[in-house]
Amino acid sequence: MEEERSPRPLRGLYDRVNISVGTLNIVIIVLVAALLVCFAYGIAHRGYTITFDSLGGTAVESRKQMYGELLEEPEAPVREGYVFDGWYRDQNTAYPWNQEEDVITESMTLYAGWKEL
Amino acid sequence: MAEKKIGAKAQSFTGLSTQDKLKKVGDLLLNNAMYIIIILAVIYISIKVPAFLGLPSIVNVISLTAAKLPIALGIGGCIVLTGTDISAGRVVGLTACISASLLTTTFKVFPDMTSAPPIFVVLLLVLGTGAVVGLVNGFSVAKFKLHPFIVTLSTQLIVYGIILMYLKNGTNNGQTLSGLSDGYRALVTGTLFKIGNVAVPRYVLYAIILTVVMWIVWNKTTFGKNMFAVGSNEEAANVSGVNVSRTIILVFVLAGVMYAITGFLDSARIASANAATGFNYECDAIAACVIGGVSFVGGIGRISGIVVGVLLLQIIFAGLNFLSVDANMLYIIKGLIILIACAIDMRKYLVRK
Amino acid sequence: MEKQTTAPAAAAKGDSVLLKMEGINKSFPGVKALDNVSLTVKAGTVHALMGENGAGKSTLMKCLFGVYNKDSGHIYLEGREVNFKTSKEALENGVAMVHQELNQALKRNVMDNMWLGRFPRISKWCPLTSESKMYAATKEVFDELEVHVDPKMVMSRMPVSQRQMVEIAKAVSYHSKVIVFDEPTSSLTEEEVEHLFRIINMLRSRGCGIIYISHKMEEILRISDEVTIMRDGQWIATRPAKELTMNEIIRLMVGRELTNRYPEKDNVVGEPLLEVKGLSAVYSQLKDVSFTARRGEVLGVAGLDGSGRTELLENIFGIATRKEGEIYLDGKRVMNRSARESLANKFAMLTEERRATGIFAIRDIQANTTISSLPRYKVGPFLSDKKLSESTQWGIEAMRTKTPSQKTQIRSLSGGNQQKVILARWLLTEPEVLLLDEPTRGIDVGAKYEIYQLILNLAKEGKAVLMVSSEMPELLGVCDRILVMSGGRLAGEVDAKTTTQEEIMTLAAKYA
Repeated sequence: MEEERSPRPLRGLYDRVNISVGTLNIVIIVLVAALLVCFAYGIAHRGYTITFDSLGGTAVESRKQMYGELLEEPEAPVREGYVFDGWYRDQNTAYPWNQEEDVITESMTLYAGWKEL
Repeated sequence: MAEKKIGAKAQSFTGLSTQDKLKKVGDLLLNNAMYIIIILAVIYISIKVPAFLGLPSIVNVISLTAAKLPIALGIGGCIVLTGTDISAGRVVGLTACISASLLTTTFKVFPDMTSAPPIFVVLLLVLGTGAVVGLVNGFSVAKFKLHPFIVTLSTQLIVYGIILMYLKNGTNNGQTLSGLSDGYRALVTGTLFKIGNVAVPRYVLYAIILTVVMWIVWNKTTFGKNMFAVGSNEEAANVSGVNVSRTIILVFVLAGVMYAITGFLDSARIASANAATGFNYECDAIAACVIGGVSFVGGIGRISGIVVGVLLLQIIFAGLNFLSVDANMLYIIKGLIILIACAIDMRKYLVRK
Repeated sequence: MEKQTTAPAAAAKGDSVLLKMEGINKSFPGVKALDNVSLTVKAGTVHALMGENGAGKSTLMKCLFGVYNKDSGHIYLEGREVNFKTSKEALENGVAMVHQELNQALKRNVMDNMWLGRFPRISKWCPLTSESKMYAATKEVFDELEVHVDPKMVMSRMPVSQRQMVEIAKAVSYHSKVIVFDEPTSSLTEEEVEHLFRIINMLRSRGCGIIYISHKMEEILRISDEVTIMRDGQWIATRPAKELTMNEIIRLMVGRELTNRYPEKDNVVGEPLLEVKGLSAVYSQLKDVSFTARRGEVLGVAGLDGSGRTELLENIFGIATRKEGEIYLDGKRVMNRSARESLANKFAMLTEERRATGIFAIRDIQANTTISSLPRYKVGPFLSDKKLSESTQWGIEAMRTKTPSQKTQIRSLSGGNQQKVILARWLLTEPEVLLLDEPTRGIDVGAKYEIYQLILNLAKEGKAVLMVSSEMPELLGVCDRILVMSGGRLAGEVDAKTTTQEEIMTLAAKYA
């Protein structure tokens, strides 16, 4: 009778699984609960943080905004000897942030663009 | 323990008591916990942010699914073999960088070049690159009998090193590659057709074609049948006359080719490529496979399952994005999802032990 | 170890019930392994437990030792109900078992094995183990049993028979009241068997109850007081050994099926088909085996476990590494360096370990049937579902496999039906030579008959069948000739019609 032999272990990565179904159920429930807590925490603290780096100008406070919104532009920073000419996506001020069209999809840092007087 | 379970099973056939019914419902809930969570999440999100069910959002989810599908189709084969492949993301990165460096208008990596080579030549080149990495993986797994985890852990490091050195080439100095040629971008992200005024990009079509091809390979070829046989019992496959080594190597090579396609599409899709491109893609792909029922037990899996897995994962990520959940939290959520998917997968096969 | 001189030797004999198992039931999926079985062992007696392979003897013992949970029934030890959860618990309550397959730590020495799990301490207060106490205690038990083994000898250096003696000594050292011997003589020489019987007699006179499981009827009739016979998981009879004859035992063991356990042999032996010359293996003791198998012939391969039967087939089929030797099929030399090559050369092999190297447990019947002959189902580069399912259907019908559908996972079938699926797999490759390693292992009696019939049908089609089996009646009933292996060498070749089990056993012991 084949059944009289000890059962062959499962193959693959679960070769040496050493847990009963009952314990595994508890593990799954705990993990699901943890996932739900993460969801809840994420939703409770929802919003993307937009940080502003004024690159030498006066400091600008970061703000939280929701997905798909237009940027609520903060008060323009000031820098001696320069004129502020808008926010950029990168430090080299090559890609400007389009205030009319661009929407927020993630947390990010915007950099101030300066023109010499 | 096992006998007890079987005894309980036999009883449930003869007559269902309330307790048995409860147990069955519990089984059902636990085995489908992943799907239930995702459905609940979708319902919650669509109530909270109705735009989530809007046309642009749906097209966005489909496009994202299409972009992540090829890599998952490749990794699926490795998982069927009871293995895994964690070099996938880096291969995507390498092939994306190669594509972006050649099909460009700036030629920072190769300053001597003046015009981009034909697109299909570049495509062949990246497919070859992916295949070579796959060959190394497959050969080591098949011949040295190393665990795929260890093998691909090493190759992903090697590939990452190559990416970094490659990006230092010429005048690029490790910068992000951008300024891709219009032909390349149009080929990948051009409009396939429009629903209303929302454009569906071409790579959705490519993903569909790849899915069909992989379905045929898995279900209609000797290679596919052999792959499942090797995955479910390597020894028996050998005795049955299956060329086990060749099958394993081919699975990894095919996977490498799929990563290469992902990389080729990804650099055009994002319009740039750098050393971080493709990073952690394998996590999403493995999670998608496991959610889609490709089991680590080996020898089990369906293409349709992988498609559903990728889709579900993208839905939940897009949904969390709509809720403006922070990216850092997304990492934790991804990790938990993989753990839960594995635990549920394990549970399915433990019960039947 | 103090001697149990106080044991009420004669007084207990034949009267007081030591162990009583009542109405034991045990089911496995699809199989009722034990059906209301009872067993009563009296103190100071040897109680033989007999039955064919799969009759449920081992299952019954495993229920006693808590390896399996019985579904229902009661076990009483000296009138007290017990329900052991582990064999350790059983041991501590005076129930020991000498296993057929020895589970010993081979890298350790004799006394380490004897006292494993209960090493004596230097004193009550000092947790260090005491080598000297261990040595003395071991020596004492050995002297008592007249076992001449150095307690400091490493297990792996000793022959199997001595290791078995150690196992018996271990059971005795637990002061066990009930000792189960499971096929204790299968690896012992005649002299050692005599020694074992002396030990058993001594234990009996001390008032122990002995359960003796064996296939060897002479032994049973010689040593035992009572005999319980089981068949197909059921209790058939318990009789005093004095009232039994060998024929009576066979009749009880086999039941009414005695007359037609094997199908009628109507295969015609033809021309030589397979010729093997001087086959030796690299990684096993297989040495210089030569033989010829003819078309239409069922050639049996007999021998003890480890005699090289399986290795012989594996070497012919190319899944074990060959050192030297030549294989000719129809006069043409074939290399058979791998299973694939052998397959192309029209060889097929059914392996011994069905679960490990036979079935793809989680794959369906179709995948399991067609895996070896996939190229045949191609239409262009792709496999045709129609052809796949046609061939699978043929396999199911030809083998009379009982399965709900082609899409059923093979692991849900019974052992016999799994074996039929694998046979179908090989037949679809249209082999000339079939190598069958224990084709009926773990299969119920009814299915065995069908497998025998299939084997004979194959022979009738002009194929050569090589069949390894540990069950000698099976070889005698199905084969035309029988090769007897011993110690990796071919000890002899006998005609199945004229030979006897004794002749085969003598040959099997030739180089062992």
